[in-house]
Amino acid sequence: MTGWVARFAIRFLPRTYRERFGEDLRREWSSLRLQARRDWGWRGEWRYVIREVGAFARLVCDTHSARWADEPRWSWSADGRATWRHLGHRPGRLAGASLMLGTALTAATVAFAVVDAVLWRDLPFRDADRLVAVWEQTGPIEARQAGRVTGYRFVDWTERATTLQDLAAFGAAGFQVETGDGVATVRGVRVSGHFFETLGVVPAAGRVFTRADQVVGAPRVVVLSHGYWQSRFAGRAAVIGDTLILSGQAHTIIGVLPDVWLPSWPVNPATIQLDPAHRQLWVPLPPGPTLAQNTGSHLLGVIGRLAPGQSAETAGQELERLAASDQPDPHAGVVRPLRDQMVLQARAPMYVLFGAACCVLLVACLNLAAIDFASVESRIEEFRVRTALGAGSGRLARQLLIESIPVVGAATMLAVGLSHVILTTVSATLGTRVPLLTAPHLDGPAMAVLATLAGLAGCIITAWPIRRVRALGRLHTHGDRRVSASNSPVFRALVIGQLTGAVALVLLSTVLVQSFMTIGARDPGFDPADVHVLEISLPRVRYTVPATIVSAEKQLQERLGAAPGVLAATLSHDHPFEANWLDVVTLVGQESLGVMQGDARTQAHLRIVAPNYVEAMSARLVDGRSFAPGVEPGHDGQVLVNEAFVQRDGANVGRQLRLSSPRGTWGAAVPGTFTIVGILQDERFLGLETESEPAVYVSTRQFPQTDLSILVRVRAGRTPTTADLRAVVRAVEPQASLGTVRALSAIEAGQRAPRTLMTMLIGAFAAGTLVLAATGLYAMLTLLVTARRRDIAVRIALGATPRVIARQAAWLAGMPIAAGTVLGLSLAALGAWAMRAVLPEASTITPATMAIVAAVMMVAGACAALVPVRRSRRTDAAVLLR
Amino acid sequence: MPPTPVDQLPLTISVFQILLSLVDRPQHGYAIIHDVAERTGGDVRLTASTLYGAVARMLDGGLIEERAPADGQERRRTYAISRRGRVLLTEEAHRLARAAQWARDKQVLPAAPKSGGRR
Repeated sequence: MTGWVARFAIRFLPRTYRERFGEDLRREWSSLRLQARRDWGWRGEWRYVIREVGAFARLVCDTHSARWADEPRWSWSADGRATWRHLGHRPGRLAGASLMLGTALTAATVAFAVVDAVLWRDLPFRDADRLVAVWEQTGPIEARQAGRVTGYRFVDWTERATTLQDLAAFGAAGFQVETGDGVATVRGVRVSGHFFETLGVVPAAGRVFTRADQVVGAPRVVVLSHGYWQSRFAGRAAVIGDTLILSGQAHTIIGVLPDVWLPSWPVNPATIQLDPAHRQLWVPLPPGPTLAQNTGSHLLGVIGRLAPGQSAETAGQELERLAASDQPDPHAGVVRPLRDQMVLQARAPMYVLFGAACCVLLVACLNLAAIDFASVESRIEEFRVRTALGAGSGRLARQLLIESIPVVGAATMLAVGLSHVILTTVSATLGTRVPLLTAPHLDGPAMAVLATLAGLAGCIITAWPIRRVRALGRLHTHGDRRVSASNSPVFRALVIGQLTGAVALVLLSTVLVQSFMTIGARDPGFDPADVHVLEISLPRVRYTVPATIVSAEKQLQERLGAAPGVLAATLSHDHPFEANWLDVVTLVGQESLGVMQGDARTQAHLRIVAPNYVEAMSARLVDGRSFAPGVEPGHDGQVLVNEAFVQRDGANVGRQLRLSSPRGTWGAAVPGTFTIVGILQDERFLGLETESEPAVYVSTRQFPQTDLSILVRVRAGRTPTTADLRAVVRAVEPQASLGTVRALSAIEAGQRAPRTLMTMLIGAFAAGTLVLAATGLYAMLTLLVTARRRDIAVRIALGATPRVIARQAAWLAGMPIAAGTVLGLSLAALGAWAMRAVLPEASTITPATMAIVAAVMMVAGACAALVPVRRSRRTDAAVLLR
Repeated sequence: MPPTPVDQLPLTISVFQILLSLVDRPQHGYAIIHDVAERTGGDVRLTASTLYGAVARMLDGGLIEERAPADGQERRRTYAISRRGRVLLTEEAHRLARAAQWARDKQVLPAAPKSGGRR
């Protein structure tokens, strides 16, 4: 402890002790700390500082207890009784202050717990600091991008890299799992044999994979995720050794994983999925030699453990050196610490969130301090009497501290309850959007932070009033020097700042809500009302030629259309709010204006839809016609294109084009060339927030698919159950794998969830700042009215009417409201301008919106000013001037 | 009735060691901490807060006295053992010696080569 820290620390000692030994203490602290550093280095210095802090805490307690033991007249119980009397008369104030402080403490605690879970808490792996994610640098040299790894590259790194002690690969997998209710698709992960060993994962039951599970001829085994074990097997311990049929092959269950996040499902560019639904079943990857044959397909994610003394940088440099242009896969590697890989994007928003929550807490404390200060001003005679009876300033300060205990205590209890409720629901709400690598809990560190913040809040709330009563104690020796914060420019600026922030946030949240509604009202290009989606997979072993798939598809369409309550039924590969297939499109050359043009290659989304898709989904044709009803694989190829395609490539009805995927999949059984027979209005298949991109619609009859989405439009208000649709599908193909029925509107709402969350967060902050600003205004006016009560009394004595007095008090309120509103409007205009750069659909702030928000602020300000203004009207001059 | 020195026994380790350090000559705080650490081979290391907590109590109890800063010891106050402190230190030393003897009698400690009993 040295310098300002030491000077600050000794202020905790009683004044008499401080004056006797403070200087000596500071000197010895400095000397001993330097001595410790000379003798034992910085570690010894820190050991000394920690010991000294503990000893100093005991010294503070001892010296204060000795002092209080000498002052028996004002016992703790007497102070407690005085506090009870004081607060017992103001239950509303106690409740209001506790609610406000409790809410602010909750925000700060929840923010801390989330930030701790994302950024600071140790990952549940052995030596987690040494774990790294390894990716390949792919793409053209000028735009290298980190992405998934080939099997060849993984095996090569495993054999030659020395900076990485262990390397393990993981890749996405999907399984058709037989259940009592048929076949369901379950997502899982394929991992190399030492994946769990690299992480240091201890199974919850049974065992995890070893290298022996990844060799040729090893028995088929599966490890269950904790969630799948609970949902499918109800957490039954005897499940180990049972057989599970995955995609038609028997696998022995050998273990259950603990309920922790694990790296799984790598996706490009260099991302690892967070959703637990992607890691339900774990199976071994093919053996190393088989993996090494894969030199072109980038499918794997890789994790590694740095060798002792190595860093991600040195490992990255080594992987750079290992890459050679004469290798089958010549790409170099990128190494990132595992935590950075998962939380890099979230780091700044997390700190901003925690900082914002702490700012809200600080402002709430300052407002409460101002209200307490006004309360002390109104009780000044009481404190004068106690001073006259011998109470020192420290004694009065202690009373104020005791008076703050019920408020801080109730607020802390409220914060504990609210934080617990919020944190138990936050994982489920944010689990797939925020990298919560460990679940946030109200655990020891969070409770310690809550207790510290509550303690600090108590200190801040009482510091200002304590300063006032300490000044009161000094009046005997320093004359009648009034200490008042009522004219403090800092506090006025703070109140105006709060009002400015409130106006700006309220306005910006209205802009966000408007843009949210604008997007919700956008025309998707089809009618999604009462449409439900069911994803199905036909077993590929049985559906190997286009004719059988087309036959099953026709039966499905027929039976679904005849199902009770179904108005229309159709099929497509992707449902109308997703797009997973980009294809190379070649526009066949043609003569135009007497000039022969050559073929032109381009890229477009491939929408594979049933022939009746346009009618069933109420999509709108702007030119030409839809698919011919009887179109078959062997007929002339027909496609539709959207307006974006026509705009970009200038291809119209009648133009011929070639698609690369149909022939690539089915060969000559399907057409090679397609004619554009119609143009569709753009559908927003990338979601309502994104503009349409060029797309070509090909019929499922001419590019048959085993993975399909069933789309049924039902009568309004009737929701088809999974069992209803399942029965229809089972009648056509008993082995079909089925998902669950989802409403298209729910899928779309899910896509807009991040924006919904942001709108709700900004809205909540806006409401919070509005309440804070109103409280600040109330505090400031209470202060002003209390500080000027003698002036008011004089004016009343001189003949001013209560109406005039109230008008003057209201004028005091009007100034900061006006200033805050004007500044807030300017800030919001700037914010809206900046927001439009990020959210093009964000609307401008109209004069009407400004007027409404200004009116809201006036009303909020008037409500806040009501009590102080009424108090000024009721000033009794006779009492005050006595 | 004011407490007699014996009423203040047993002494805390820090008070005992501080008094021992001041037996030979008055010393300032930093020198006391060093003396204690050296004499005990590092077994007892006083922090500044512990020292000045004890010093305040010992001054109030009359076990030590404050001396004006010596020449060359700028602003450093030195402390000297008082008569009362010396009496108390002797009593505490005897008490500890008796305790050690009891432990030897029960063979908890090995027997001393020469008698270290009270003279």
